[in-house]
Amino acid sequence: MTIENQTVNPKKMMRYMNTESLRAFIPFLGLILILAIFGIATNGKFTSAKNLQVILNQAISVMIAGLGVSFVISIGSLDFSHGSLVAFSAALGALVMGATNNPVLCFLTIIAVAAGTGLINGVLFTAFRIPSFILTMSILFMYRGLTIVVCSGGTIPIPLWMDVLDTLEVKLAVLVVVLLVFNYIYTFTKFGLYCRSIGSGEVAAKFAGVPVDKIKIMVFVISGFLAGVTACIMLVRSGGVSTRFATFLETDILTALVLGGMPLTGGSSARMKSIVIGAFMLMALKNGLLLVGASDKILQLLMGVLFLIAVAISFDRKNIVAIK
Amino acid sequence: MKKRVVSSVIIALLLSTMMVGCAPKASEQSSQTQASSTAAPEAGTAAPAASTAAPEADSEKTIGLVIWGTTGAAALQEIDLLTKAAKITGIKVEVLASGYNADAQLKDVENFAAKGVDGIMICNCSEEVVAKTADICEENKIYFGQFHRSLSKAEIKDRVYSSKYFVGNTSEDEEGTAYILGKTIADMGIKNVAITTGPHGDSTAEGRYAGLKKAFDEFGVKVLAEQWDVSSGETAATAAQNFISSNKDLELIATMFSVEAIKAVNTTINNAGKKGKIKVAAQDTTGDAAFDLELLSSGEAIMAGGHLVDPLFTYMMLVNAINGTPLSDKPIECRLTQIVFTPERAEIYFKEMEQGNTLLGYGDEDFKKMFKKTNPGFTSDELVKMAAAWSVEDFQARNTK
Repeated sequence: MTIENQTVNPKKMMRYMNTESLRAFIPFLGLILILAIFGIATNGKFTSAKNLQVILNQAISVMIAGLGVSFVISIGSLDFSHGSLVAFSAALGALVMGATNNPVLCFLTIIAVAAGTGLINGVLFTAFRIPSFILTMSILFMYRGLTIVVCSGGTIPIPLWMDVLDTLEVKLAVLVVVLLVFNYIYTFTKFGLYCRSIGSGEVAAKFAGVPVDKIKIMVFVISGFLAGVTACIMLVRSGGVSTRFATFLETDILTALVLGGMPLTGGSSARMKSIVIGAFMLMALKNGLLLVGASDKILQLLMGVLFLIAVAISFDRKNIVAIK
Repeated sequence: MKKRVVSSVIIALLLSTMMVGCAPKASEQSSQTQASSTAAPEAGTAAPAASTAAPEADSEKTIGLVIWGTTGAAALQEIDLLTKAAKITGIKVEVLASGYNADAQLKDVENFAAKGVDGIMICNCSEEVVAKTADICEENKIYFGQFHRSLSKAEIKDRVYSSKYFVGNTSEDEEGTAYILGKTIADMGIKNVAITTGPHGDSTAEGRYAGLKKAFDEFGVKVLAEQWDVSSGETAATAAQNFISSNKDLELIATMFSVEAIKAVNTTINNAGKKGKIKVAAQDTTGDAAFDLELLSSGEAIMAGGHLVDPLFTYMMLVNAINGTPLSDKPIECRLTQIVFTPERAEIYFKEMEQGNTLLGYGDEDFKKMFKKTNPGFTSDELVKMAAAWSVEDFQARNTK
């Protein structure tokens, strides 16, 4: 049996590999350019250790939440529920904190609620075949509504002494642990391989014996779990939960993922490093534009233009398909 | 080969950036030189040198304004007022908008601190944000103050007020004014109303709702429908459409949050053919003086407001502290009374205070009066009195002297 027109052209192959490796390099280049341009424009104030700490401090919550979304994207789906999921779980956690004054119970509640929601998302996604974007957007609206109900009496505060947890050291420690564990799972375990294979081709993965539905549910649980970790960090940082808590977190995550070079179509080229680079880049852009004196009125415009440029350069057009 | 070239360029760029970071700024160099040259003589001679250098230094000083938005009429009017005052004080204002999101507000505070501003003014979305702001400002040795807000939670208040960098706050009696507005509505014989207000948890939204509801309950006005989290014209218009279509007895829509909501609700009423049948009540003005005046004089609206002058008082607290001439060694609390508009008051307010030579009733001479450099004898008590007295009548008294 012969396959027509399927011969490999070595030159084309080399060009393809060069383009791919260059594309993988672009987010790093973008980050370095941002550091260099803003560094020079601000006489080094932007690249001072203190300012880089500020940027990192602001990026950590997007990094952790985005790591969960990266898993979902790797299977070719999308989780758009994070802003409200984080808000609702944090609100319940704050209520538990108020009732028990026990931070462990508070954090466990938050993570259980968020991971439980992830489980519900996963089950609904696989059982009813609802597209993930539509499903998680519905959850986004539902949980924002629930947050408004829970916070109807005003901000739900947590005790001021919990501020001791709001340090860069604590957040960095959490980030490092989360990154090590989940990057290991994604890169070196069978589970990670299954995720990538589902993203590359669900039908092929199914025929190859991958338990597709089970993996999908687990991916949404991971996404929910990491949203819970993010909620703990954001709750401690904000000192309380109000109806607007974590609004637009989901768009920040998506922006960061795109800036970091994550292929939104998932598959084998999805990498966990994308969210780390992208989140840092996003916060660095906001911070840098302010430091160079860009007016708030044009800040959004500039962000949009830069985002468009980043997507135009790094987006892999070969794999454009509808997000499942 | 390509990779090597790219890598070399990147390393060179990064190194140059880091090197730039190590070098002192031109301004720092000059100030260091200045300091060493004036430090050599006796201490007594150094003082005049410092005071003559002050105006130049002032021009570099900035205050970071953390506000809910930069596109609405209220925010624009407030920014205009501060920009005008900055021409007298020399301390300019930089603006960041962060909605009513605690995390976004804290990011703005951190970014301002990283930029090296000399002061921060915040219209905080929760009191917890102010406690965190206090930490950031103390760490960075930056003065800070609140506008349109005060602190009520004892633990947070203790912490913030104990900071030597907290200059104070300016706020309005939202609940009290809303109560007067509610009573005025009841006195007009209106019995069936709907309410839109801001997000749950926001002190302004909660305070206004509570005051209005209290008056309605007391004077027998029935609330047919209400919607929270209305903070834009679009959401207000949708809410108004729903109110009108589902309540045929509706006589008035009270828009208690967002200046954009007033115009949107009024347009929705007109488009529904209910002009003259359904009135609008608002605890804000739109920033469009001609529109407000027309609405008030036609009897289609009942309004209170004029409190957009609020940030000026906090700005003046900050400016004086930044200049090394604080008005007080304790936090200052300025309390404004909102204007409940009668046709006479509206005429003066919209024609003279908003559109005349002054901005919200204050002009250059008033700014100079509040600024210790141009008025060394000015005290915190006087600032508090000025804020408390602010009204149409006060404006008239000041301008007929």
